[in-house]
Amino acid sequence: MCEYKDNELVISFIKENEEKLYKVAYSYVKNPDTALDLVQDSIVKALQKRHTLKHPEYLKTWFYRILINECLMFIRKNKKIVYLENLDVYFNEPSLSSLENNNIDLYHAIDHLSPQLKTIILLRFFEDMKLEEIARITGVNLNTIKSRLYKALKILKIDMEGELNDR
Amino acid sequence: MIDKSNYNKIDIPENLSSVVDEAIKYGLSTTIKPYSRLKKVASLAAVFCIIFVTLLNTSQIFAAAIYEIPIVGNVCRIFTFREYHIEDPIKYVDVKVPHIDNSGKTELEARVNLEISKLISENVEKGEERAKEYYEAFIETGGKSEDFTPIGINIDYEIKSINEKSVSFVITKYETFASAYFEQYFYNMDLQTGKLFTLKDWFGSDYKDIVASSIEETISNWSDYQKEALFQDVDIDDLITENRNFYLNDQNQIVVVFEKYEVAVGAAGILEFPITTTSE
Repeated sequence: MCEYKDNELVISFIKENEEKLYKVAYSYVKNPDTALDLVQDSIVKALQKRHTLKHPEYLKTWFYRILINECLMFIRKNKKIVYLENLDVYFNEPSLSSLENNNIDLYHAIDHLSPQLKTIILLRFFEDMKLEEIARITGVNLNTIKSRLYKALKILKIDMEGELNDR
Repeated sequence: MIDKSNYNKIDIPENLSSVVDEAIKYGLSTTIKPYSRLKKVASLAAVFCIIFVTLLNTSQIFAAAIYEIPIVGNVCRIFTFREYHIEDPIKYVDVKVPHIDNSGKTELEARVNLEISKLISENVEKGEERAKEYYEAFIETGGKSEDFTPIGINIDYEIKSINEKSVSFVITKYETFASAYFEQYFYNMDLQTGKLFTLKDWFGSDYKDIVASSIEETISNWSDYQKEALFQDVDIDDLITENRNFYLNDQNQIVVVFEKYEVAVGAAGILEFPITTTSE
């Protein structure tokens, strides 16, 4: 069909969203080099398999799905790796106002969610996606997404309260 | 609501743009061929497939209209007899089964066609088994089924040359996840004798010397950088046997093929050597 046009579409989507894609990858792996690798791998995979994109209107969800699968695969394979530079971030927190401190706690709490729940929080609140889009990206149905989102929010709240109570 | 200012503050590496550009270039150049413009038809129900195959088999006009069948003087042709696509949570399978027709050597034709369909179904079966094993291992080690990336199994063929005298084609198979599972099967049919021909049939009893010296000459023209990829302890002479993989290109030239890791490091990939003979 109009393969050439489709290519253009995919490429311009990638170029326009490269920073977003990088941020998503970074949020999972917390390491710039790994995040770059993952972005790179998912672009290559997407282009190699671009004929699997049957409806151009789903380009965004299709691409995010590839990227997120790559990230989850990576996390699964490297569960035990903790980067030293990340530890630094945890230990040498600069003095921040209490508001920002809470914010950092929240980010930590999000990082400790299971990858599945984290994906939903990430896409919903950081990437401002609709729940329908998230459902399509993750390949689970909308109701499951809703209950997972609820579960994630509940965990985050408990987590944060736990933090507050300790003080 | 969750404050995303920290998220937006994630540093963007300077080389992101160039990494992305490289990835796009690489992705475009290594495109995995879509299984055909017929993918919608192929992915429909099996019933439809049967009708389709029947149509293809009974109506030459229909078949010729759909596929660009290389018809050389109406002598011999190769067309996609059957193609199918399976997709489930464990695997996606793309298969194209070639079929030789009108070669004038019915016995050879039937034998090769049978061999091809056997070869392909065995390969698909093994690939599916491997995908299943991999999937089970993945689940047992705590993976969730929805996180599993399906294993790809892809079988295709390529016609290297086709004319009144001979047919040369290759069936390729690869599985994603393990590049070691890339395999090629070469078929070289002599339509005059009605046999599959070997290097010996083509070059005569001196074939070892002829082929090896041609390959060695090609290698001697390589740059040092290319030569470095070759394994030191490989003797080309020993590798030229009657079972050596080769095909006949459209310039009626024999091209000898070495698999990955056979004579050189993996990065060199599959090596192909067109054989030039001084006597001809």
